[in-house]
Amino acid sequence: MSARKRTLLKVIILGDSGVGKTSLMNQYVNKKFTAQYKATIGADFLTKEVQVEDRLVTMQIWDTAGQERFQSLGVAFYRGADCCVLVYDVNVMKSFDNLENWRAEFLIQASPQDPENFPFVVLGNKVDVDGGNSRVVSEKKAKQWCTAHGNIPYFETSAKEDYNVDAAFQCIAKNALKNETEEEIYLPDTIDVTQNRPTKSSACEC
Amino acid sequence: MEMDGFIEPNSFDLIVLGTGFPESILAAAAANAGCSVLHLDHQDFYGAHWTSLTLPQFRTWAAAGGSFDPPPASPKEQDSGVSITSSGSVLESAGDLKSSDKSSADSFVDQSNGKVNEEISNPSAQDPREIGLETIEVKYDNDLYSDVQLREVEGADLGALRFYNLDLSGPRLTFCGSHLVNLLLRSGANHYVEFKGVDATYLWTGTVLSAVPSSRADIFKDKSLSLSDKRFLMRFFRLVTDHANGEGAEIPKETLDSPFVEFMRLQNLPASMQSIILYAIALVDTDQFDESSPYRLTTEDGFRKLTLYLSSVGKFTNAPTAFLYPLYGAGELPQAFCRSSAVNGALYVLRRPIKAVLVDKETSECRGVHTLNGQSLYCKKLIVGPSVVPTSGPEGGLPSLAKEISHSVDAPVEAASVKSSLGEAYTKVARYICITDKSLFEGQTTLLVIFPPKTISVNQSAVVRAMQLSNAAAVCPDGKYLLQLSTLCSDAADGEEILKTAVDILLARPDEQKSVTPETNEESYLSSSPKVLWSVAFKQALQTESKKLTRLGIAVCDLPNGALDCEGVLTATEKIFTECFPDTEFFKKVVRPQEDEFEEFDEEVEASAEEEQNTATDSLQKPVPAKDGDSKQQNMEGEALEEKALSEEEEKAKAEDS
Repeated sequence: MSARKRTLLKVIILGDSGVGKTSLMNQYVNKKFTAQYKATIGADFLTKEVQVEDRLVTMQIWDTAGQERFQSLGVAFYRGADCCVLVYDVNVMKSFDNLENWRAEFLIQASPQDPENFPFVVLGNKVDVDGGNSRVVSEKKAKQWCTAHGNIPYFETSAKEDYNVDAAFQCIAKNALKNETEEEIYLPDTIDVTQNRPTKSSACEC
Repeated sequence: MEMDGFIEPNSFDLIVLGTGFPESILAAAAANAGCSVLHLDHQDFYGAHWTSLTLPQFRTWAAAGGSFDPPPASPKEQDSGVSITSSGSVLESAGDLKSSDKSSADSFVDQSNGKVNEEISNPSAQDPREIGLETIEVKYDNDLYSDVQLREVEGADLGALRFYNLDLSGPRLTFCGSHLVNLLLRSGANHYVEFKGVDATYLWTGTVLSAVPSSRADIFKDKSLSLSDKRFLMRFFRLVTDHANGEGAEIPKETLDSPFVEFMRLQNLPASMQSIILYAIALVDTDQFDESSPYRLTTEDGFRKLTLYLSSVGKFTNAPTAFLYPLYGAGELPQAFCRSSAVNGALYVLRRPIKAVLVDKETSECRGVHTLNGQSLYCKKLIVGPSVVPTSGPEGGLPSLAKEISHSVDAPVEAASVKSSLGEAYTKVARYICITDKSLFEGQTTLLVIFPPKTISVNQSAVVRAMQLSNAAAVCPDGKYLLQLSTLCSDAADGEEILKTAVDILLARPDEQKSVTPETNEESYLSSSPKVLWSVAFKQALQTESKKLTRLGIAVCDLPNGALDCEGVLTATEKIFTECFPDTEFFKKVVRPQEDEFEEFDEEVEASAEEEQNTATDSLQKPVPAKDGDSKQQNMEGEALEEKALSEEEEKAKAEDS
């Protein structure tokens, strides 16, 4: 999952259960939305090719697979992330308050080389609900938090209405690509048991 | 955040306690079969005794004498008045290992402070006795490790500590053609872990480290073997391959049951090859030339291991030998299976110690667990890791695993050493990890070194294995190397001393000294040999008997064993699964729920006749499902080609011979 080619970006989405992480991914990658909420079962990761400036990159977006519910994501989930997307529900104060914890959790588990400058993107989701009348976190408050945490880019989104989703992920891709520099340990010759096919040359001729 | 909240629902087909390697595979297999699964661990990290630790974590663990720190009692538990009295044993090992994590974990806890009242009135907290269940208290066994010795070298530059991943159960490798690779593919866990191929294997002959040929072609090119030896070998390999394919002359049952070493002798294999096949290919743990040993590999098992080895060589591009090691350490494997399990709907809760198991008064079968924070959770089956031990039972108490282990260890030293010379009673595995500043062999990063019995000292009855790893396997910073060693042992001193001697042999590399730098004087040689920058030695108790709790219908998973490969662990794990779910296939290939879900989306979209511009190119990219059949076939073709080339070479050699 981490010995990636230079064009493969790993993006992980964090946030409280029910804020719309899976829906955002599905809307962005599959242009699909279901109003019927299921606590995430079966969501794994989605990939999408993205054009960032003059480069074509593959973004691999990892869902929490429900393991966020009791804050039980293992360190393996965080390894090699190029960008961390923090999602909250603008209608639920606690989901906003917990952004702080999710950010801290990410920095501890992923332990990026330069925590101060690691690319996060914050999404305030479900702005469509009740025509915005039920929202409890103002855009201003969210932006203040983002500014205070190193100018994190902020997007208000609606996975349901497909509002601002593309723009947010375009920014995510761009920032993930920026991070891709010397951050990773370079891991040559790794073996993915899925993709490898036996070749005649490997062990016999050296 | 439900960090500390009660678990909903509260009834499952299967509850698994502990996230060790076997437990995680079992959770994934059950979830894969459509069972509802709750997977709990009392620690705040995955992997239990199979985990990989960062250097600071390893230091903490070693400083505590080989145990994980007790967690701080969470403020919520104190406030809500949940009883934590008399369960000191639970708390003792319900560890919060990553001290750095505490801050973040605690802050999540704070968020749920307001929920206390609501939780107490939660209907799932009803008294379990009301429905005919009684509670049997459990504790977490914390005495599995002993003789922990940490050595820091003052002023040593260890680089960035966060890059270290030190295996608690190392060294451990997997064959490229192993069942594990199959299970990874069948469970989908292959997406969550990558591997590094082992570059080379060396065998210590007692005087030199000699490179083990990794394929039949290598053997054929080996100049140390005579042509007649090579012919015997070729015939031998053909025999083994034919037997695996059900071809060739039938081998009588008594031959298959006889010791493999005797069979090889009868096949005229040179002694050096016998040693290589037994210790570097079949990976046996103990002395095979000792006729009184009860642990001699049978010919049938020898064939199986050799076939596995031959099918592993050349299976993957970039894998120069038959062996793989997971990137970021062996602790990635349980996590990969846990994620696969979660993707199939299993619920994961770390930092959730249990206080008791719930047992049906009439049938004496386990029906659930009671958590330390006061929730009863019900299940049809309970699978537990090896450190969960009931402290009393319905019939006046069950023997605890710890007691049994310490009992056998408490045996008089003399008796133990006599036993060990007979190849019996290995009660512990001695492990050693060190960080060095240089590779044992220049240009090679990932190495396996095998010390067969009696090559280090006369009383060495078990094999010693050493594995070198580097940042190529993402387990240490650039420029640093890890050495992991292990050997089976009985009494406390002997394993440790043997490992120490093995390390000295590795770092001195007498053969290198002679062959590579013949003119160098000793002093400058020493300055160029690898230096130990940090080390830890410890012993881990071995499972003496794993069926302790069958009376309660609880399946208990194994502790890490002393083996290098995972085959034994997988066999035992699959057996547990079959016992728990007799009618269910172990990881049958099913359509993953994900695909169903997206079909649902498809239908929705079609029904509402919405825009159709989205092409399939960007859609859910599930890597192509495992094609076991394909790879096997291609492998067979590869073998056939190799076979042909070798036969030609053999013919040529014959011609030259005469």
